[in-house]
Amino acid sequence: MTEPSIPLASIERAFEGVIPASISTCAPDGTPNVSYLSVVRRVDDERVAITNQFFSKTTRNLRNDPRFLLRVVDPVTMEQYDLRGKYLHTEASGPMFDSMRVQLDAVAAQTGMTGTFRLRGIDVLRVDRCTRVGDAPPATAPAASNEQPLAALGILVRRLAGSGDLAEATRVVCESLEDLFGFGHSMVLLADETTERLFAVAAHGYAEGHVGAEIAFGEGLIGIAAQRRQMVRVTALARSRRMASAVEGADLQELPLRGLPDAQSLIAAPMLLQGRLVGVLYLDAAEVGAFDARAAEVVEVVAGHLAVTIALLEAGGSDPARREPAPRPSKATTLKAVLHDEDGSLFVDGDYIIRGIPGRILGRMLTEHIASGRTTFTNKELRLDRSIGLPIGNDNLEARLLVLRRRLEEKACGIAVERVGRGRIELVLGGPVELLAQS
Amino acid sequence: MRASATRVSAEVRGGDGTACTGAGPIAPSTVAEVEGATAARLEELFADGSAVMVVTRDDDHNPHVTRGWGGVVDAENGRLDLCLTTSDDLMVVPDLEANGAIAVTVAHTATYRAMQVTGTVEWIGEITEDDRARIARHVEQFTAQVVRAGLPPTIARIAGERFVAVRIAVQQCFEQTPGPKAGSAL
Repeated sequence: MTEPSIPLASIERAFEGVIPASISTCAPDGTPNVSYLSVVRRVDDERVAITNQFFSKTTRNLRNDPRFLLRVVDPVTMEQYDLRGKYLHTEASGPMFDSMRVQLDAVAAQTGMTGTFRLRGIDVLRVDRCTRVGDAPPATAPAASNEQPLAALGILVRRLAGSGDLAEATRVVCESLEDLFGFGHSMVLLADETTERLFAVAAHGYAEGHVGAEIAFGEGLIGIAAQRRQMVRVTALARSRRMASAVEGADLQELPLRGLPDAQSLIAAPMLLQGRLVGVLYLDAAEVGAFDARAAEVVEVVAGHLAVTIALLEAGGSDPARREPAPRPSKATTLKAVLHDEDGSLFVDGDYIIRGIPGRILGRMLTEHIASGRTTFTNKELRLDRSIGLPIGNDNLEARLLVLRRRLEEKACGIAVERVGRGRIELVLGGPVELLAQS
Repeated sequence: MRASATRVSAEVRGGDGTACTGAGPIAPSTVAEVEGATAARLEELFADGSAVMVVTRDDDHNPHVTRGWGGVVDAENGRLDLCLTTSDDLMVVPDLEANGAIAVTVAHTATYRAMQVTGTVEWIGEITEDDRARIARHVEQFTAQVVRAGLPPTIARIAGERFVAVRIAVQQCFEQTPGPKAGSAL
């Protein structure tokens, strides 16, 4: 008796791209052909899609004789599966094409290979039969780290709903992703659509220095996710990198990763709200295959909830009674601050603190303090000061103040910024300060 | 090539080989010397524990796939000796007995440099102790390469436990490294 075909949904891990799949076809003269594949995507329980970049022999064979044999491997159990069926058609546009193209484009952007890995089309294949390879007893997979993602998501959403401001919301998300799902490294970047840049407002699980980092739309993996408004998920970056470097004439101009320098698994999920890009939620891990399809679903939901929460907070939902005391800085000697007009970079006692709009905000407050002794400032006056360079409209001022506050905490330079109620901030100094403006 | 000579003798003796009929609508074998640089590259790929996928087809052109191990290149005579996992697809050996058509893709797991060899299987035989040692060495090197890439050593499971030895009369070698030249003849 023929054993029943295995549902494709039950072997989801085998489509993660951790272990290369292969496709076998046959030419009209009877010459068989087998090629490795960079991507096999499960479309539904009857169809899969493969990317068509270079394997012209396979393409020619499928056009002549649509029968194929796909071999995929589960990277956890190492079970192999054979999928037999027929080539249906090729797509060169549409949601599925875009979703698969963004993955390749993101890796290409990260490795400096944009243009080399141009996706020509995706071949959609109908699977008639899926069988397990070999006659050894089936291997059992270890239990997943979180078998009840919906329950955990519920907890995360409840925690997020209780957040009173942007600082708390981003902290809650990053910490919950770790304690509820085991994702120990994450970053929240907010979008400035005027300048088409992202800036990191929260980073969890990394060494210091990530908050305040800026990324242009389209730059690297994270920038591509922002530019295309599409999730980017990489399961084995080293494999993608090796494949890119194998291409003849390849000259990899790789960008440094923004989180873990040796990350193998990455997710960059755009935070979207009514078509507007609020930011990007980014996670990474040093292990291969750390984020499976289920993890991607979780991150997508969390990114959506965070987008809504941030929008509500922007609309004035912050608790005005909530005060966020900054660590009290103390310095016995005079603080020597230098502000570079050109890029807003600000240094204290020779140490780089921050650049851009947050740097100019701090420069503005220090200038006022030195001139008049003021320590309390309002969002309104910062918005009206054109020299700071905040964009008109959605200016992300709260986010920029959060970046400034976290950078000052990280650097412990003797200067801090505190929220003291809705629309008011206080400059806290550990000692007397001097400011030198350099053009 | 030491191993192949032994095996041919064994087949002549009727000891452990089954001659391939070569039947089926496949282009006639045009065995040629494998060019030196190509042979060297192929040997290097095998020596580095590359991943080897092997495809056959039945007389109705349905492909069947398995994995290959312990390849030995005889450049001068245009032959490749290879051991195939038999538990992957029970149709591989019947295919080879029916028509001999075979393609072998050898891909370096770290660099993705890859080649494909197409040809006709001349004979099929039981594996020898030498073959078994070569399979073990290849599986070990393959596993080490893959583990370096971050996967668990249980990847060795894909090698299977039962094998046959085949001799392939090489007809053509193709570039299979990702890129615009993939599929071009070497």
